[in-house]
Amino acid sequence: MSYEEYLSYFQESLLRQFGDHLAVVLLSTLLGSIVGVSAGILVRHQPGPREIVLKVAGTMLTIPSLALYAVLIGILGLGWPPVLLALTAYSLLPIIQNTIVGLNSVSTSVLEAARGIGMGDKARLLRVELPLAWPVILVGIRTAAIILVSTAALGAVVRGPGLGNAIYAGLNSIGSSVALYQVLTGIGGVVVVGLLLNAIFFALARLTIPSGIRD
Amino acid sequence: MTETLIRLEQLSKTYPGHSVPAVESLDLSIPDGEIVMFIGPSGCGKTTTMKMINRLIEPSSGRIVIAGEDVTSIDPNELRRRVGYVIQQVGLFPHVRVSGNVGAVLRLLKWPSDKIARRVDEMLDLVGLDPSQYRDSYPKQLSGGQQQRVGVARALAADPPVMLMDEPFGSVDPITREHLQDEFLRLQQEIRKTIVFVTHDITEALRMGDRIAILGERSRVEQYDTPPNVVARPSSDFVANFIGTNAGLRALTLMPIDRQTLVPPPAEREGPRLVYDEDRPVGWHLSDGQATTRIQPLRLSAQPVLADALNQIVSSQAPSAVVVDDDGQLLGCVDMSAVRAAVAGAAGNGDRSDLQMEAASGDGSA
Repeated sequence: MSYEEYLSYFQESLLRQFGDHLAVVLLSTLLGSIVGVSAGILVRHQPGPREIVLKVAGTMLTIPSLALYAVLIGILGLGWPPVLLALTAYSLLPIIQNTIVGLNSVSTSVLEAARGIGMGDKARLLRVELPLAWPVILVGIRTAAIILVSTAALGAVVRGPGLGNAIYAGLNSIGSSVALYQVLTGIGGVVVVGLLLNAIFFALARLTIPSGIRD
Repeated sequence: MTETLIRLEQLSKTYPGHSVPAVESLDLSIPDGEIVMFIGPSGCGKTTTMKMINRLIEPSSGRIVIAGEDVTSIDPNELRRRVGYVIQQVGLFPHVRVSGNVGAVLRLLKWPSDKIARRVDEMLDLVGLDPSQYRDSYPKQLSGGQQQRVGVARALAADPPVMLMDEPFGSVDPITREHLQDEFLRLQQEIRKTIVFVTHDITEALRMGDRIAILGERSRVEQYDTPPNVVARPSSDFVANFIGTNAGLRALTLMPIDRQTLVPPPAEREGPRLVYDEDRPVGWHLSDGQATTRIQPLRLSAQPVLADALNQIVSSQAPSAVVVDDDGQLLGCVDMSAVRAAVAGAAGNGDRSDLQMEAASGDGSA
């Protein structure tokens, strides 16, 4: 079987795996952003809870995903759910960290002016602190997404979505004529997902960062 | 004396963990429409005192009354929207255009957007920035001086009766600072706000203030008076030290020349002689055989001060400075005796105990 034959034969499932891979990364990054940014906002001024939250998020990153999946299968079964949960957990550290750094680096004179003209806590957070911290937060979210692109490939061990399935299938059939095709296509696809994500985040930065604070 | 707009009553602030209060039992009345300068050594509590007026710092005890209303326990955000606030670092919102910065308070007050847009343009005009050129700029595109103008426009947008200014011109270069000061004084002629202005620069205090509150430790009011009175009659050594050794020269810049100051030109027969051109004084003939020294007479309508007279005397080497009317006709001269008298008063060579009592009993009315 030639590579062209392999591609045309598996085209449909490869495209689906590519789409799933992108989707699972984006979805878990989104969930991680909601959880991580909220957590960062809550703990930014309290050194105690801040350390605890960062430690917990850091520890999650050190758990090998195979071990994590072994535990999660028992709770969530196979397929998307354990992968989504694991990836969300892995995304938290860079997002929380950058949220805290971004918010705490907003200039004190800007905050004082905001207080001085009568902005309440909520208005100040939404209209001043978050917009000014946004470029830093966005970098954290992008870092998380890029980490997840490769981590997501391992989701195939719990029958999760994505290009890990192609790689996994190749590894399981080493010696067969398509094994190398499968592994290389899977890896190539993961790289393309990564490039695509970079482009998405570049566009997102252009669209969401006001030109007054873009450098 | 004008009516009091802001009254601080027994105002105290003790920071948590400190045994000594930063501000202790301060009583102060700030008249409507005046600029009151808070000045004092660093750490004296002048900024703390100012920030208690809009409750960026909550007082530990005492009352703040603005226009008859006790604002000590109302919603602080409500209060702050009624009190303009300008700080040294300006604190413009860098992610928002000039229009958004100037309109920030108006948005909080929920003005309709077309009204905000009109008001923003009005404010930019008021502070000398062309709206069509600047309303869509971001703060980083402006110079330091322009940024502070936007800061002032933001503080004035909701037309608050009271403005608090915390060393607003402290971070620009001296030339821009002087320019902004002049411009602000002109603006104040129009808007007549009641302004509390914190500074550590005595020159700025004397120049800008209708009244100066010289604060000692724990914001104790050492003297509260008009600039000429503070210079001429410092109430204590603390104040005298604070004003500095060149108080005499400073006094000259504060003392206007009026018709009472003027004396006739020196007798014509001997010594220096005033030279006229078509009845208008143009110079001095200082001694026989010397050419005429040309001068630029002071116009009384331009509100000259004694320092201007001294400057003319020194640069022309004539015995006195010449003051004319708008037509250039001689009104009279200012001689060194007037200058000396002013300096002597300022240096405290006169009978000070007498003056002190006068300053204390008058509560600084001038």
